[in-house]
Amino acid sequence: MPAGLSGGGHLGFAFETTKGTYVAPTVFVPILSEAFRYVEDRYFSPQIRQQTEVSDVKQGYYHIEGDVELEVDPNFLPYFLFICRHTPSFASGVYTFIPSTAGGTSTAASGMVERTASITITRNGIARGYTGCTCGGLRFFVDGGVLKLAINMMGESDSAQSVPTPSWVAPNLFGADAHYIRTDTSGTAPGFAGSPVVDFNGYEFNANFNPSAENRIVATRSASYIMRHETEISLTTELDFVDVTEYNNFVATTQKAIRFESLNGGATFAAATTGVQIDVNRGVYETYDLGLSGLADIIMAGVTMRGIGITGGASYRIKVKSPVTIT
Amino acid sequence: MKIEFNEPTMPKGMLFHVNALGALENGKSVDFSAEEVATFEAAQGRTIQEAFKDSPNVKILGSASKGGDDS
Repeated sequence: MPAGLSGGGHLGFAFETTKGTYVAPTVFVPILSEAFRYVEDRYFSPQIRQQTEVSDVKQGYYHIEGDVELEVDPNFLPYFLFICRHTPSFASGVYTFIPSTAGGTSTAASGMVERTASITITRNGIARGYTGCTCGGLRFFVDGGVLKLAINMMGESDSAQSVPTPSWVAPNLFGADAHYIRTDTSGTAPGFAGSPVVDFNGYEFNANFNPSAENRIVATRSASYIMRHETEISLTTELDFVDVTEYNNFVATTQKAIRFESLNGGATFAAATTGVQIDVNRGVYETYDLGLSGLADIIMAGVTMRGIGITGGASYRIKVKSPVTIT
Repeated sequence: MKIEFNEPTMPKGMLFHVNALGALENGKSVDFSAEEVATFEAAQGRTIQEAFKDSPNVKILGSASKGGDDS
């Protein structure tokens, strides 16, 4: 086979009915890049036997990990949020995802519960199936005006699969005129009633579930399950430095709520035909870096906010208005 | 050849495009001509049955015909 091009590849997605058991793809998700890797803890024998080199090699435990980057499309976003450490719910065409405390990945096959996925990636006409896939972390960000998502994926095993035949739907992206940011006082359900703020230069929301592949003593080398540890939530941007309000908030650890919204087909989430809403309900500045960086530079503060837990509520909430029906 | 496409998580009527074959409407069957099927098979390097054998949302219902569609 001659050398191939990434553009000829594809990624297929299917929810699993049994965690770790391969399911052929049911939907094909347009991506920007992927880097699924077979990661093995290979054993090299350090026997002492009148040699200074290792003497043998045995295959060790392995798992799958890597990043997938894609443009956010409401036709596909819910699938990925279902395989994160989330508690999903659905009402009136809107999926809501809030963080859960689940440790190991779920074995549930249906319903409003976290799932695992089989992901099939075809590269140069060669397909690999990755099972037990879960999201180890996710990062929403605006790039070139378009909302994108990078997912750190973790999986249990890989295997050769027959090449599927993809079917594609028309893209439904969120462009530069789709985004709004609002702030409010911290709370379990902030109203975000004020006008959108206008001083955010960029937006990046990060939820890191700190995953680890766990191997138990069973007669297989693949991961037994993927464990998730502390959930770390952060929000990164640059703010125009026009007064000391936010600097004082940084020093005083004042907490606030931040809503990022991307809408198509309407100016409010209720009116939009499709939309994404990311609320950090209790954010506090972790860094607020200010300086005179150069003769012609705008004076801006590089800031990172940390999302922290909130009593009686969710630290963050992601809502997706989507035409898909996941039951 | 009739091909029925049914992906239950996606809206009925949503159009799905298969490279070198054409559009399939979710929840419906489409009749492809022998020429269309041959074009697809040439591009795929395998028969249409082989191409969709593991696709849970695609059913191949008959042999190739002269064209037309059906709901």
